[in-house]
Amino acid sequence: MNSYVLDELERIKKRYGYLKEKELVKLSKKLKIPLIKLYETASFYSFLPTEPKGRYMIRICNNLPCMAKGSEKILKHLEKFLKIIPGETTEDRKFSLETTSCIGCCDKAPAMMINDKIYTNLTEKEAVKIIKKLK
Amino acid sequence: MQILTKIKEKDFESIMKMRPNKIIERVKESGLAGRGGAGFPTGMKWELTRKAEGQKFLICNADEGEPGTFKDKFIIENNLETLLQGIAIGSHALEAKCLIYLRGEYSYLKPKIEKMIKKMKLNVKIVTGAGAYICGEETSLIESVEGKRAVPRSRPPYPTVEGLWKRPTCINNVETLTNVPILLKDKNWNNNLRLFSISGNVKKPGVYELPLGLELKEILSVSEPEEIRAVCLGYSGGIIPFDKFKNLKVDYKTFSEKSLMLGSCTLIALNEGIVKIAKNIAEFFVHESCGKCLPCREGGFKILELLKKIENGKGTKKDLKELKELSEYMDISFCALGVGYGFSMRSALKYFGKEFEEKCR
Amino acid sequence: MQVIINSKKIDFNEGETILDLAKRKNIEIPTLCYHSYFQPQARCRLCVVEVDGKLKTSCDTKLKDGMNILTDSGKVKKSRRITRELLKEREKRFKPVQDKTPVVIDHSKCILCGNCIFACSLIQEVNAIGEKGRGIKTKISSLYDKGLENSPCTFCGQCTHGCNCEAIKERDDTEKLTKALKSKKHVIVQTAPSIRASLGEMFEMPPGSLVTGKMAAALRKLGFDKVFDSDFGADMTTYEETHEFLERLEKGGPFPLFTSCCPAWVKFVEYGYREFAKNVSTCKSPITMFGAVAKSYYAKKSAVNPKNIVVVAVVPCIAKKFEIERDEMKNSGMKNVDIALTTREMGKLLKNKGINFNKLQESEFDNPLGVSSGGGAIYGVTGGVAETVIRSAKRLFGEKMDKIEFNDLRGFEGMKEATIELNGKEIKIAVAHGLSNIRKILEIIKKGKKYHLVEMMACPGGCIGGGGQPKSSDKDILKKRSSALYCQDRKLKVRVANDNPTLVEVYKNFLKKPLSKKSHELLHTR
Repeated sequence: MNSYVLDELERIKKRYGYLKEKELVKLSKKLKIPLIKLYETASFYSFLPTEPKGRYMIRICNNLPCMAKGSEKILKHLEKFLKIIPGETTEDRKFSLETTSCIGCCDKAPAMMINDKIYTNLTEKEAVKIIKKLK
Repeated sequence: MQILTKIKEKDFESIMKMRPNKIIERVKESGLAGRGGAGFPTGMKWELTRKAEGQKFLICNADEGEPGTFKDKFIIENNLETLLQGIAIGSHALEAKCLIYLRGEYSYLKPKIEKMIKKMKLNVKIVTGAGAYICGEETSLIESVEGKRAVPRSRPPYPTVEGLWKRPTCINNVETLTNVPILLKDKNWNNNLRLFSISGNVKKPGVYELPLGLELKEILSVSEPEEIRAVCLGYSGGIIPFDKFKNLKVDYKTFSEKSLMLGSCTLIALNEGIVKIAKNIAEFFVHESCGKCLPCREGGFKILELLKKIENGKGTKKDLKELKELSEYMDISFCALGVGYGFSMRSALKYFGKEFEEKCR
Repeated sequence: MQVIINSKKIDFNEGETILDLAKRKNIEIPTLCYHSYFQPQARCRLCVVEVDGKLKTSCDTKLKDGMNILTDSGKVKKSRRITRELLKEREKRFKPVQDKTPVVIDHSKCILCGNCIFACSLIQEVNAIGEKGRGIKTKISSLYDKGLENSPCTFCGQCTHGCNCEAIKERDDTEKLTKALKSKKHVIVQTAPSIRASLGEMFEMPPGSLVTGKMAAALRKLGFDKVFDSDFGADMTTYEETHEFLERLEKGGPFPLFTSCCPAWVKFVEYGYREFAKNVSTCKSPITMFGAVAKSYYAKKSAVNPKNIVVVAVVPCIAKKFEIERDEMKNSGMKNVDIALTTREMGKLLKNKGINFNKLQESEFDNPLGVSSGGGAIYGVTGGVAETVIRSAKRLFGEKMDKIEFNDLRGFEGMKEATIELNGKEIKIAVAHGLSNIRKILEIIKKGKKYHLVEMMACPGGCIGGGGQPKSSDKDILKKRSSALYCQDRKLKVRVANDNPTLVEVYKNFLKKPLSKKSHELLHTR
């Protein structure tokens, strides 16, 4: 097995922002794996969207360690600032917001991921500052 | 910290010159057991895998996904070299091809790991996960590497007999593998030390290396706790009232006797109400459930609905009864995720029963 | 080796699971996701039993010497109750089925066992459906949820045979029929070759029961104005296709000639093997040829306005619901066939109307469209169409036929090859059944293998194994149903389509010749 399906799917996601059908068709031919199987796999994983998402995927951890350090407030703040709730994408297609399971930054909580980058020790102000920079 | 021990290159080279069977014997003698939570004797796992026929695989499970657990990340960030030495030794002892399964949330560490692999001239491939807690489960991890939905497989056959691409596969946790070079080199290697991931309502959350057998309050004291009402022992380990259990001896036997699971030594100190805590745990499991089996998928979902109802003040005594019933029912789930979910709920109901009853009409 | 089940000591064989033994010894253990075609999945957990005090799923737990098993303890009963309750709750969370495709998915009944996917991917190798999402959001779906009509799905319906829950099934068209029967229209029914060999199973008759007489009687009781036989349409198809074949032999191609009576196979070609479209016979299928003749020749003969005729077909096939909607299957602005009901739909409808099938007095088909040859009967089995075309061809060449049965074309291997002498020439024939074998043979042909005639049936066994057939766990079901059809063939005096008296009459007084302008208009797709 020279290429791992997850790596290939990640590559497509990085390039196009999501797993578009055309690319899955190409991949299916390349790996000789039925197209529906690739779709099944992609749809299983939180980080492999099969529908277009915003340029920046904001994932805020809402598990107990982050919750204990105020993640709920930060989420509410971001919802207000971006005018979207988890699961939605901003109109200009720049930001998508989601809550996520523990990302292992419990000693620097609250934490969030934006695409592959991790941001820790967040405050409400900090979080908005980071997003503003990306705008 | 013992876990941060660096092994000199010449010592590593001499270990790599040892006979595989001798290495396995030494690991067996040491008593090292899996540090991912399941605690299976590592030497035995290695021996079983080595005995099997054909091409073998050794996979380093870096899919640390248990909420509140970040000790493996700590190791990757602070003692990557020893971890990779452990993998190399395992590969040599098992005559196996090796892989690291790195969770997607830690993908930012991939370049650092690849650089070190190159520097050490090792042949290790990294497969990155994509946001699925269930991939921490051995057979799910294998399915994920094979490019499929990470749905667990029936056992038997066990991965050591039929694993990745149907070949004998040994899956070891990051902390377990990091201990291998240390125990082989250091005569004073202490098997009683554990890495505690402490977080939540504490001033100094972090990874602390402490011996088993201390009291709960002693362990938590190193992190300078604030107000603690409850301690969550990882999402599958149970939830206990701190006041009642502050003198509880933290070791596997004591925990087992109290129907608690020490697992990978995760402690989340909390000051919230039990219903909110339980609901948070339920939301996690419902989000991460693979959906294969009915109890975890449907039963788990119903548990969350009931907890939401109770949190909103609309819960009845009947709902509480159903919650108790479903928490026990979860025990027939296909894999440890559903079973752990039920286990966690049962402990919450057992140790905080009054708080639940007060919330229900 | 022994185990104790419910306090009784029972011997078991090595490798058996608890469920295997229970089935063997008639000990009841309820199951849902378990299916004899596939490996036990242990997904639904309904089959749990108490093993040495612990609850374990019986479908995948292998027996060990000394196990103490309780199949009905309090613990087991409680677990089953909760499982069933959770399923009921799940049902309430979904909207009723709204799909209009021939195969519909009722997510409220779906337990996500994945058997339908196994049938589609492992047996048929079509890969039209899969499991999308995770956890409670998991759903059986087509690619990107675009709907089956936009996927490789051929509507072969093999997925429905995997389903134990009526979640994936044929679209229910019985209301359409009930409405038609209540109206003032002239409603006629035709029964596909396979129905008479399988309808009885819907009424607990043993598999392989040939129920032609009771079938005709039941349909008459239901209220049809005429009870006809698709086998007549099959004879028409044979006659036209044989002439088409002989024409190709004369012209030197194009070869191979692929049969066209299987609509799932035709859809398969159109989706993924368009380069072979020109090889497919231009003949319509038996039911649509029947319908075309019914709304022209028969309408005239019986002085009924064709616009008032409703042609109903009882078929073993779900893809027929797709076929009858095709643009080609129309003449003079009217559909050749108006309603297609599967064997299962008809069986249920008869039951709902209180018709006591088993006690019915045998009846006969009506004239003239109820007359058929043995060649029409064997259309329902893989190899049958090829065999009946050969019979007709030999008859046309005036060959002496000392044998009328061609065993080389019979049997259930996925792909069969035979060389038959026809008018001094060697004719290479191939027969494939099941879409996975169809794919294999197309790839072989692509690489250069030459055949003159290839019969393709999308369903394993041919139409007797169709997607709309009664569900059976009998390992020999195909053999038993095919025996009934071969038996019918032998019973009839007329065994070659050319000798069907109604067919002779239709050509003499109406169509004139096969492949004539009129024949092409009514009986061909172009």
